[in-house]
Amino acid sequence: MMPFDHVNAGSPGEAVDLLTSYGGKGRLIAGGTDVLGILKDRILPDYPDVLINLKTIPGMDSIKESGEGLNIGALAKLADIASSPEIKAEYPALSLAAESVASPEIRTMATIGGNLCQDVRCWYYRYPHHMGGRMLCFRKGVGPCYAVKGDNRYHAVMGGKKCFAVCPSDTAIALCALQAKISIFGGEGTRTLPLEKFFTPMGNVLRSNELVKEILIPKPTQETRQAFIKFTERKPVDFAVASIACVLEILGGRCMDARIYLGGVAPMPWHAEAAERIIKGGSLDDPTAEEAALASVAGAKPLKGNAYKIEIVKALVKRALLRRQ
Amino acid sequence: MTEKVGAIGSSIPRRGALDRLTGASMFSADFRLENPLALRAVRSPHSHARVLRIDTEEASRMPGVARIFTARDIPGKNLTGIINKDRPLLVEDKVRFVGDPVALVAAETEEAAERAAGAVNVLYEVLPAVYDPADALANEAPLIHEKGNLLFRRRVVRGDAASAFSSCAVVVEETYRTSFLEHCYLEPDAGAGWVDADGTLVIIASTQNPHYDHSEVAALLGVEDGRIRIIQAATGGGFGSKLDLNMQGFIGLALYHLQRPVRCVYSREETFIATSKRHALIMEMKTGAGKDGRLHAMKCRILCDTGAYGSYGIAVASRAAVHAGGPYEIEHVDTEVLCVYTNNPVAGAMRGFGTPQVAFAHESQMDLLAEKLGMDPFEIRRRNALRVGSVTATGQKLEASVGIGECLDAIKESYEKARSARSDRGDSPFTCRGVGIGAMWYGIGNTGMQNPSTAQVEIDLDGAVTLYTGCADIGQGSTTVLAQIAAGTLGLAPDEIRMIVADTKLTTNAGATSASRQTYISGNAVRDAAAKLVDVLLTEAVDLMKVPKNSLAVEGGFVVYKGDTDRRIAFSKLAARARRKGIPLRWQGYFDPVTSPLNPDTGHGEPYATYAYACHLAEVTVDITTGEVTVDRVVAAHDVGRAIHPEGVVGQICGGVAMGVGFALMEEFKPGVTASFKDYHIPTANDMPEVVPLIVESSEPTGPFGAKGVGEPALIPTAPAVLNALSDALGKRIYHLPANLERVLEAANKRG
Repeated sequence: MMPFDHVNAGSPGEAVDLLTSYGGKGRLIAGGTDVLGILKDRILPDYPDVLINLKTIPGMDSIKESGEGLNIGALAKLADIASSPEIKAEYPALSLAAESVASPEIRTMATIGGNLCQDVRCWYYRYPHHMGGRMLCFRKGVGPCYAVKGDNRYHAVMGGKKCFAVCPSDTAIALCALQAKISIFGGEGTRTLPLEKFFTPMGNVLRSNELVKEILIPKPTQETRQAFIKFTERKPVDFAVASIACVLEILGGRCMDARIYLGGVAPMPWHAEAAERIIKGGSLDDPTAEEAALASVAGAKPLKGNAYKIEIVKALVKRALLRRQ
Repeated sequence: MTEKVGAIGSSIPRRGALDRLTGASMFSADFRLENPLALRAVRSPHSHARVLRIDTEEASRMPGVARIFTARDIPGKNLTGIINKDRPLLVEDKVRFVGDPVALVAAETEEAAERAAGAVNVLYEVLPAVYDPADALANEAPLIHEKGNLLFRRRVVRGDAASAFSSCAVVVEETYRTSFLEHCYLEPDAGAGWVDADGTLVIIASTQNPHYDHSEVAALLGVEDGRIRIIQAATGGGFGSKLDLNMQGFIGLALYHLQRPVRCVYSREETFIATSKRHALIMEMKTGAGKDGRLHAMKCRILCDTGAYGSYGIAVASRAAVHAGGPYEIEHVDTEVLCVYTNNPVAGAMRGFGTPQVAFAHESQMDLLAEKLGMDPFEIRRRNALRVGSVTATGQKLEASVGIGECLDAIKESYEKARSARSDRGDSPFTCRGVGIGAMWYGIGNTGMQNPSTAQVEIDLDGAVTLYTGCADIGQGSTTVLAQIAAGTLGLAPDEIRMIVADTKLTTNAGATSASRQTYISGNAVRDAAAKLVDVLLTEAVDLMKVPKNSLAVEGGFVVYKGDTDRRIAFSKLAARARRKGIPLRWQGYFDPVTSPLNPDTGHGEPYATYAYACHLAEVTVDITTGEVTVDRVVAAHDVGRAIHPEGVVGQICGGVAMGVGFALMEEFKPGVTASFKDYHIPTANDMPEVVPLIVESSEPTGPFGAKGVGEPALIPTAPAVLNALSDALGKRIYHLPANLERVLEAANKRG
């Protein structure tokens, strides 16, 4: 790995000041499980002079439950989120999503903020520089998306336009389904937006002088049923081939409200609104689930090598909707 | 020779296991040298290009750079390769795959070496490249090597296949494909070296064949044999890739010029790009059988993509040809294997040398024939299984230790139970279950060529015994097994044998740790050496005890009189007596299996002295909505002749099954895409099925205590069994490995 300086930040304000003073040559590091891989492989033409360490900011790793809901500091470790009894009880979709990430070693380092901000896993985008040179592609601002003509078995089947890499975050879809908000701190103060609005096809809305500070999740109602299912090639470790998070409000056997998000299939967490419309107001039986499964992939445009993902998504939707609690 | 009870067939603690557990083992990268230079190769980004100029000037001036080597710095012969020499250590004229090394940086730190490697300016003229073996054989194909793109052709012909098909009741004809695979040993390639006070270049290496490394480095440097010493460090797996010269030549070159300690440690990414792969095969198979299920004829055409250089390509092609029919008697055989250069990564040795690939094909064919005949897959195999007296496709008559029938019988009960249980559909409407069998045979040692091993056994005046062997233990346990064989011959306990292992200054050549050969071949060499020493001890005892030699035995460090075991003489006393008479106390053993070369036109000959046999039963569950395959259980029966160390055999079987599951369902190295474990998936502990190992012992008369080998056979039947089980579950067959999600889902969707 090429050398860089490592500076500890003592507060969000200090981190933002450092980001500003280093111009484009500073990058944030929290758990480091993503950024260090990016630097080791030198996949990007820009290499930072300095890494600004957020782990030294006190209190930003807290997990606080209140009557209103849950506040999770951006530095909270995935392992702590997965093992929190409160989250297991009230926000099982998030607990399962956090637990599904990578390996125990990575979960004890990786943070929720980092999991939301992580870069894509596209093998062309991630191709190491020291093995014949990095691949300059659309996502890096130069060139085409190599997945379009290349091996695209892990790429987007929906929502891809110029870049077909998928958003790899497992917690993102669980949090979107739970209607989480994200609190962003920057030079102009704090702004809070629905998490769904945080993601863009090419990453997220963070400006160069901003960082993720906190995640806020409203308390689910008594009638809420949650599911998170991640489909991987191998049982542990892998990124999702496809995943689903859904939060359903069931009252008297009828589905009053539903939020279904798909992961691993699009450049952003994919909101399966058509499927939601089908199940809202009715009872969840096999034909409804089948219809919702079809609707969830309506309009999908698979590439040459990833049509199989559509079948998997349909299976996941059915499994999630028909799961009995 | 009498056999020491407890030495042979007992699972004693493995040599070095405690060191591995406590972290005391020294792997190549662990050696702390004084001020070592770091070595880093500059590798080609092109798959086929002429090298016009290598400009090292700017890079040489960078801080910390000691020197940058190119082909011109190689004093000896810049061509390597264990079978055919076609691969330069550093490329001079043209690169042939992405990763071909053109220069070597030696610098004070890893970082300086990496920076300088990035600053070496190479001017290439990109040439047209070819990535498909069929395309590479076309007339207008770019020429990769001067002699042409066809490296080797192996034919095996028996009877008259063409006309025999017409008399077959059923014939199946299919094409099977497999992918390049990466070995994925735990320890990436690494080595270190220094120059001894007497000028010897000492190289510590992670290797499967120290004596080959030795001769290759000596030739590269043009120095006499005695100036090189290769010591095998603790080695974290090899699976065939560490049979090639990987970093040893780089270390030798730097030591020769700089006379300073050096180390060369590959990253995982470098092992992926630079080291050999499993050959991707395209196999056209036509197999015919009579109404009774007896195989009559097989025609087989195989294209074997060996990539940019030969490595073990010839051995893979030869072995694939010999084993293409499987462990069955077939009267009429017509096989041709072509081994072809392409601009893909170098394909070399990998656990099984082509046999895992052909087993996928021949076992699929067996199930297809059974289906057409309405016969049970078990029954068709049992009817055709080789037996003592059978004649193989190469015209070899099998004289003994043909355990395939016993292996099949060993799984029969499990098979029948699994078949009847698979119709219960489990609890999900989306899953279905299947059962499959895979069988194999595997010739021990190199194909139709000499591949001797030697060993030395020495007794000192205290009666302590030392075994010197060049045999590299890469984790498979040969050091333990060879100690057991020496102990078993000498009537000692295995832990009483001191072992000196895999150091070319101290040990003699035992050949490669490959082809499942070390237990059988080096084991016999050890037994020979130990037996010679026993004979010396007995001869001395005859003198002293005045009884005939055949009434004496060795036991617990004594020669004892069998008629009265209280009459005994200590080894130490006998050794001292022999020494006084000038009789050597160190004896060399030798063994070369009886083989004969294969006829170039017909493939006839005796390629191996003995064969191992195995069959696996796999039970799988397939989710037809997602393509997800769970291998629930593998029952693995292996004829190993005799299990010297049963737990070692079980370990090999379980490891083989893991590798086989990966081969069947997930592993695929895509040149230009696959960079590391992030996009090359191997099974994890959670993906492992329950494994039920069954050891079958059909004793081999020429083996040490009846032993054969199990290293590669362990892997071979798994993928065929899994694929047959998949086909049983889906009613659709997959002809292309790996059977990944896409292929399984496609098959699931095609079923009625």
